[in-house]
Amino acid sequence: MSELTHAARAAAPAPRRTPVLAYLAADWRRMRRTWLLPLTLMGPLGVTLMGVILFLMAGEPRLKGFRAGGLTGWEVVTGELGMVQVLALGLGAALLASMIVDVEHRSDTWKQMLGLPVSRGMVYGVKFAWAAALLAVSSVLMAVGYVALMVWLHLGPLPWAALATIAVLPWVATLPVLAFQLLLSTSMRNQALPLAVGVLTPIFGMGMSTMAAWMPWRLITQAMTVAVGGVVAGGPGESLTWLTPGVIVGLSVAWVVVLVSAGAVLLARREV
Amino acid sequence: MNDLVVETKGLTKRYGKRAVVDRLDLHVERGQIYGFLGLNGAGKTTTIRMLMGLIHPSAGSARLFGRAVPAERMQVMRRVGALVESPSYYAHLSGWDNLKVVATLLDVPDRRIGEVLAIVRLTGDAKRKAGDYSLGMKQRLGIAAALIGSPDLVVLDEPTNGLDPAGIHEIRDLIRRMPREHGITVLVSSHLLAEIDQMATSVGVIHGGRLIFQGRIEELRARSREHVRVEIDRPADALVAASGLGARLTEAGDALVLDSTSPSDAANLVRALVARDIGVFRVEERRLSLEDIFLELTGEAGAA
Repeated sequence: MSELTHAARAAAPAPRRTPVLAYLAADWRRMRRTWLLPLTLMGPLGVTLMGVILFLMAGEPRLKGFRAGGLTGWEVVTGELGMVQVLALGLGAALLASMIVDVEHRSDTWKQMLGLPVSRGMVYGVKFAWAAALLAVSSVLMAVGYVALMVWLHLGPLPWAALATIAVLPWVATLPVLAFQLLLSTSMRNQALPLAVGVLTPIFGMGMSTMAAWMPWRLITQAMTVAVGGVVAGGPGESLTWLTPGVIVGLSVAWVVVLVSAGAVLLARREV
Repeated sequence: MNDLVVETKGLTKRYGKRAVVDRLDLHVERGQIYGFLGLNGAGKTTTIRMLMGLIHPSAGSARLFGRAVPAERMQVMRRVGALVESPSYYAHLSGWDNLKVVATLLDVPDRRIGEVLAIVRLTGDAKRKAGDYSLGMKQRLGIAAALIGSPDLVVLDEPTNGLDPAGIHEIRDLIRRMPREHGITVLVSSHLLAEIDQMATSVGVIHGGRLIFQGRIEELRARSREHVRVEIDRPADALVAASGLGARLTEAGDALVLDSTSPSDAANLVRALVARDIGVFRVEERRLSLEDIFLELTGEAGAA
């Protein structure tokens, strides 16, 4: 008997810490064949298509400002779609956060995965990292969508700096909401409440001037305001505040650190 | 050197005031197939969850290979594979992909996935979606996931639950091979005594959260006292007639039960009964089955 166990021990690799890449790779495999990846593409595609429809239905009235020389082409497209993008980011964050943990809720795999020699904090952090990465892909694709619209409508030279800003800054500002939604979605099996919160808060949050500007939902609007260089059409009363791009990034990072740590602690203490 | 693979001391889990697991002292030695037996709701799964570090004990401690869980679980879980309660699987992934997720986290080469698939006989279905598997296949996939890290201890919680007889037989066979062929210690829970009896070398009986028996299965079987049962027509008179045989005689309905199997005792009893003109229909030797012992054990514990 002792020989058998000895042989088995020798065959098993020595215990070592699971590398971060392994967590990332394991989660990538889990995400395949789910709606996470299609959703990442559908978000920006949907917003862009909405722009196409808007300009096809009533192109000339919408382009009047540009033709008269009062508005730049960039201001025209972001004026139509900026607020839609804000909503899409908030909603997308809620959906991604929900779907990435619902994979575990639905298949009842928390108990299997957390029974492995893995760090629960890492498991949580990697889920956030993947959701953030998918949201980044969406944001970059959204910028591509703006380019497509501007080229299609012959709206003049492309504003590269503004395009880079709109790809990055609203994404960074959405990460606190993503972290909040992930916390919510992880803490409960039933995803109805997290999704309801995810749908409603962007709608209320963006127009709600009573909400402090540093709150996660307002941050997205603020970031978008900065990105389009002024007042966003459709967001009445929203204007540039004291939130410079640097402050927005700083606040977002702070929110992410607090909310992701809280979620990691919650998962670490959780009984599964 | 300590040869205890699993050791718990006063392990307790309370939900509110109710102790679901109550001061459990489990001892599983290397190379054993330890049958963890108890009715549904006796506390088996809760105990296993604590062993795996999935839930925190309210009191007491648990050690695997001498390491405390959950405090030192990162050091020891590499040596443990488990199937806790219902099998966990990603329905949208193939059987192979499901195992690959675990293999990636354990840093095990793909070759090992093929090996464990072969062990549980799922090689032919590796490419199919796990959601389309039958219950038995899902259960086997769960066992494959438990085996993939080449563990020294495998914990299987009700592995035959919901399986058809063929599936049960297959899994039982697989479990029996583990210590022999792979040097694995097995802790397997079940609510069926017959099942434990057919594969376990040691047994722990849990009832109402408390361990009411722990030892080799032979010790449990040694409790199966033999006795002689005599069916007669006038039990009331019979007890008086056979009073010469002493206190080992008890009345049970229309029969007498003699707590002895010595031929002379039985012969004396029958002689005494016939002498008093009492009709004897049947004399038989009886043995308490393991099932009877189990019921007796759990009955006692329930009454206490």
